[in-house]
Amino acid sequence: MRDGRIVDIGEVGDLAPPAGARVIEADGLEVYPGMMDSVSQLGLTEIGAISATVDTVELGEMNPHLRAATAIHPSSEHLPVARANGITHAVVAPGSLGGFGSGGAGISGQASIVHLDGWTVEEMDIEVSAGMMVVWPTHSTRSRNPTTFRFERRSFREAKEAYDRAVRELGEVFTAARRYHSLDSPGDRERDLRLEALGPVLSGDTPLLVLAQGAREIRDAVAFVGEREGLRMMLLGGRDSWKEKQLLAEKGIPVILGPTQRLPAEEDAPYDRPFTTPGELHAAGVTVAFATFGSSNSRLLPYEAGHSVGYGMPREAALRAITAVPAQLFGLDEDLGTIEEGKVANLILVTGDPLEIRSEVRQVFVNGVPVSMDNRHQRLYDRYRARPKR
Amino acid sequence: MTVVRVSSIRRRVVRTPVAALGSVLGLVLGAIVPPGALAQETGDESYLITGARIHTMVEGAAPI
Repeated sequence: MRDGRIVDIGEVGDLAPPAGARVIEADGLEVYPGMMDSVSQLGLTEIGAISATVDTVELGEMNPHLRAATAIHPSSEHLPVARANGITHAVVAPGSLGGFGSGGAGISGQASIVHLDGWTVEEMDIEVSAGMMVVWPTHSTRSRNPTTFRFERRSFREAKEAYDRAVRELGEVFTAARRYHSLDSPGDRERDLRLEALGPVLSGDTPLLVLAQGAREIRDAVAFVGEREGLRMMLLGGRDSWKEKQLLAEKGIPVILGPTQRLPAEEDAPYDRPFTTPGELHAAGVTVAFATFGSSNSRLLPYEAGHSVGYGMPREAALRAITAVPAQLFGLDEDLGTIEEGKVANLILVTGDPLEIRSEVRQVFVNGVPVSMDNRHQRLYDRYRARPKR
Repeated sequence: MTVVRVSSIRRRVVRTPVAALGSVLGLVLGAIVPPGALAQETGDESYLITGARIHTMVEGAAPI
C-alpha cells in the first residue's frame, strides 16, 4: 500500500516491497476489504435519549437541499467502535429512519458517504451527495400528536387520507422540480435550493433512496418511481420486500436490508422471517446489501450478513453484500469494495471469517493508514475487568 | 488638516519589520520542510502486509 492505495497483491517472493515500506507481519490472519454500512446515522446521533446529541432531522418535510455531511460529528464515539469491528466506510443518511406513523415522512436530505477516520468531515469525505433520502409515508394508525408528544390511535380511514396526502405532496415536489429544471435560462426562474437539489435525482445521476417497510408502501413507491422517467431507486429497510421480490427483481431495484436481527413484524409470521428475507431476495435475483440504519449498532453489520448465511444466503453473496455490492450501488466500485491494485486501501486484518462473531478484527486500515483500534467499548471492558474484587 | 498620532506611527514602524520577518521565515520554512512532514498521519506512507491470506472479494476469485 502506498499513498492510501493498494499497489500490488501477490504471493510471498513475487512482490517487490516499496522502498521504506513498514512491514506488518500478519501470519495466520485473513485480509478482507473494509466493510461498508450501506445506511447508517454514524456521526449524526450520539445518545438517542439526549436530544442535543441527535442531529438526524431538520424542521419541514421536504429538505432535499440538506446534506448529511454538514452535520457529521467526526469525534463521535460510535465511529471508533464501528471501525474496530471492520467497518471502514459508511453511508450516513438523514431522516427519521425508525419513525412511526406518517411523522418524519418526506424528503429528508442527501446521504453522504464517509471514511470512518479523520479529524474533520473533509478528511473523511468520499461522496457528499451519494443519494436522496425519501422516508416513504406509512398507513400507520398510530400517530404522534405534535402538541402533546403522545402517540394516539386513529382510524384506518384517517391514516389512509394522511398517507394519500403525503404521497401526493411528494409527487408535487417532483413535478415542481422537473418544471424548474426544464426552464432554459437561469434568468427565467427565481432560485429555489430545494428544487435545484433534485436535479441530479431527476436525471438519475443520484439515486433515490426510498425507505419503505410494508408491502403496500413498497408497491406504491415502485409505482411512484416508475411513473417518473429517469429516477433510479434503491429500496431501504424493505421489511416486507420478500412479498414483492418478483416486482423488485423485474424492475431491477436493489434492496438495502436492515436491521434483520429483530423479531418479525407480524404476530403470525415465523420467528425467522427477518433472517430468511435476504436469502429469499438473493435467490429471486434481487441485489441485496445490508445496513444497520443506526449509529451504536453499526458495529453489528457483519452479523447482519452472517446471520443470513445461516438462513439461506450464500456466504460469498453475504460478504459481498457488505463490501463489493454497496460500492457498486453507489458508483464507488472503481475505488472501494474489493482488494485490487489501484483501489483505496480500506482493509481489515481478521483472525478468521469476519461474519463469524468469534473472529477478532486485529487491525483496520483506512485510506492506506493503520488506524487506532482504541474505542469506548474496549475502554469500558478494560475498566471493568480491572475493578477491585471484594 | 490630517492629524496623525505619533504613538500609532511608532507602533506601525515597529510592527512592519516584525511582520515582514515573519513572512520571510514562513516562506523559508515552507520551502525547506517537505509537505506533510508535520502531519501525524498523512496517508502517504507505504505498508507491506505479509503472511496473511487475502480475500479480494472479486467475484469468483480464490483467496491468495
